[in-house]
Amino acid sequence: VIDNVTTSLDPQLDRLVALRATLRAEQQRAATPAVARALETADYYLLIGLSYLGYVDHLFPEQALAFE
Amino acid sequence: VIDPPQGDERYWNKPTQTAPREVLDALHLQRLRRIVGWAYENSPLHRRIYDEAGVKPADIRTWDDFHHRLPFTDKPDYLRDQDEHPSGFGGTALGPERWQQYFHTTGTTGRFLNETFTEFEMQKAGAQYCYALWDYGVRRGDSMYFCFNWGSWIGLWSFYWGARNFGLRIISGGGCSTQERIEHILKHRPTIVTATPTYLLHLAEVAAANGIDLREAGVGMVAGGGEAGLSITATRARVSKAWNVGNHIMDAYGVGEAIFVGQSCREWGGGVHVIEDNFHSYVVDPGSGEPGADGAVGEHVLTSYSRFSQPFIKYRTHDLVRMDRHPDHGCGWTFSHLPGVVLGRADYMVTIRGVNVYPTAVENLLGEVVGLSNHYELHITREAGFDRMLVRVEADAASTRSAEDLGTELTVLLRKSIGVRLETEVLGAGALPRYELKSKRVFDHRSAEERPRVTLGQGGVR
Repeated sequence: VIDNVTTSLDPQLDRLVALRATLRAEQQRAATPAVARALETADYYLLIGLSYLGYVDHLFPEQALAFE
Repeated sequence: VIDPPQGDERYWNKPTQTAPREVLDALHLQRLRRIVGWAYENSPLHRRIYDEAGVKPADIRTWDDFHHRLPFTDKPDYLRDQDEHPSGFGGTALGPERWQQYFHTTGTTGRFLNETFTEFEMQKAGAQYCYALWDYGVRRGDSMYFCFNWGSWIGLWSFYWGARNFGLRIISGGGCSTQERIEHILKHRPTIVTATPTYLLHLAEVAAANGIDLREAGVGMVAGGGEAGLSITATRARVSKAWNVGNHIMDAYGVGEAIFVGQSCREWGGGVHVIEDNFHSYVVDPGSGEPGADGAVGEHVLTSYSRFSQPFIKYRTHDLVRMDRHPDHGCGWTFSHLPGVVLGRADYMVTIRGVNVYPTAVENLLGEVVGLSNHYELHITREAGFDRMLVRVEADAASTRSAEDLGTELTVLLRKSIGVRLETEVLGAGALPRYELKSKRVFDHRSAEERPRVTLGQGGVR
């Protein structure tokens, strides 16, 4: 669950946060390891996009999982 | 030809790249709190350092907390940790299952620091090069030629990640001789040639010796780092002339372990901007460890938001820089600016009759003496309780002036410009070594006891 977005420099940030939640949900139910890996790579790039827009709740993709 | 973009088209990431200082600082404080929390939870080294200082991540709420409660970290902390750790890596916060590539520092300070990077860190580290490339007018379809051998120094590797991230066509000069690289450049006519400033000049020198004029190679831009040269007016002018690239010279300043990168903007305000999306950086007084005033020279201390497997937080670079937190040289970037980039090393600080002598100041002056090459060495000694500096230079291959004549002019120029007398020695053309990667310029022959001890106020912690 991604929440508590604290700084928003552009309205696209909120949309990308929602997109990331969907992406990660799809990653969890990926049909094959190949699809899971592709979505993991996509998440890396998506998080770089989020960080450009001032997203600070996670600094890197695995952070939420690591804290869990 | 690279067409410079106009208006907002020049910004890679306008929301932050032109954000007011208070917005950038607010983002920094949140990110700093995050990365401190991450390090405390996952890096035994950081937990130990913070516990010894009696500080928890939750204590870092304000800038005063960050500046005064959070301890500095330094390379020896990581070296000790890597010695004690079976993995051979110090300060790690993620396990080897996440590591994707290893590097080590160049060892210029005596020992290698092992560095490990995850896949995401490499992607993110590459992203930080795009701000300048975009600003200069580089676009998809352009190409970049790399003059290095893909070794264990991260500097140009990260440049490569940047080129991939940006979408450039990459042409490798790995495993090639200088002559072969010249042939590649003539054949492929890359948009950009990337190398250290010294090597860029060496390529032109070797080409000229073989009757080849690299100004005719169609290269639109040169880029590099690892040395201060591309932000030193005289060296920059030499590079510009040798490659016929005008002001299309991109400088990048990095601190390998923390993958810190500052980049020049198209206007070139005399140095590089800190890419504040990825780093927090500030300047501290070498004596007290207190934050320096805007524009003051001090030791550069940085925190990386690109390093999670091996965090670098409030990390001492030992580089002496001057930071302008409100740059105004016409580019519109609000990211802090470091005019002159690295002015010297805190460890190599040389004080002659009360005057701090910066190696970059000496390099800049060499370009004013017609007949000297761009190669030089600074030898620091201490005699009878006083620091001394020998400036060893070499004549340019095309020069007909005598060594005595060149030496006299250089000595007078140094005295007049820096305010103290430095010893000079002029060698014949080609006598000094050429380096493909970082050039070794400063040779400090002082004993450990004779060198300055920069304590930052005993760690800068109250």
